[in-house]
Amino acid sequence: MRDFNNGMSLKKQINLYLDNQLPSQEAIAFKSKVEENLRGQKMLESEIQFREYIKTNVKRPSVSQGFIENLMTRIQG
Amino acid sequence: MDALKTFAYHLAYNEEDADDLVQETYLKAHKFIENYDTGTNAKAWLFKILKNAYINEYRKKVKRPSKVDIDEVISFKEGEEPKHAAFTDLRLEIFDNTMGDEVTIALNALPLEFREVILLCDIDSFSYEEIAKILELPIGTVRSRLFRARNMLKDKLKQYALKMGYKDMRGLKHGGHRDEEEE
Repeated sequence: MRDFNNGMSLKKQINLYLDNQLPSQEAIAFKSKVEENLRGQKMLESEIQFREYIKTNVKRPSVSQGFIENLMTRIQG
Repeated sequence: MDALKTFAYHLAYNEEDADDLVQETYLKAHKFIENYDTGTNAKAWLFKILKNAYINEYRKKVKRPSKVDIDEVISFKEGEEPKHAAFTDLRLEIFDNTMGDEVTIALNALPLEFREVILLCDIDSFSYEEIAKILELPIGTVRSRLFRARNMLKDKLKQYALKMGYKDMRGLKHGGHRDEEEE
């Protein structure tokens, strides 16, 4: 699965594609190339799922109302 | 403010210190508001202040050693993949319904330089250009660190899943022979 395009590994290209780092024409060409390739499709799907999984499951503590009030007091003071 | 706290939490490892960092960030932003370029990304500016506060003050106090896999460090070069990269692609069937805090634990076990790029890109959706500005790194370094960081994170999650008794059945043909590993 190396040398999928321009000597760059498919995995790296998938990362750049999902991170919106490929120029638009290159991204379109890459997408259609992946769609013709079953292994590429699976890798792309897997990467999308992985990112979604991390985003959904990472702990995201929120700030309390008391914290905000205390901060506002300090800033205004 | 919650996004800043999430970033701070994963730098400092606990909520109390994260609150301190967020508070310090806002106080510094207020104090040095004239340094902010109107029209630029205010969120990125705040993240940069927080990261610098963590590096300059908080981290000195805590001196928590990073958990670094020595093999990963030795083999780290720009764009180089770890020797086990072929095995780190994730399929959710391995992990479905198995994890809760494990994602956070795995993320927090990454060395800071890898953890921070994952947080900024995959959790807070900053672009490479914004991350490069926040962390004061070349874009190429952001790109290669992200690639490595995601592989490291997948590997840590996979190790956890295997420890929990989930088997990696990818690439196994009928009869139990594994396909040639890709990449």
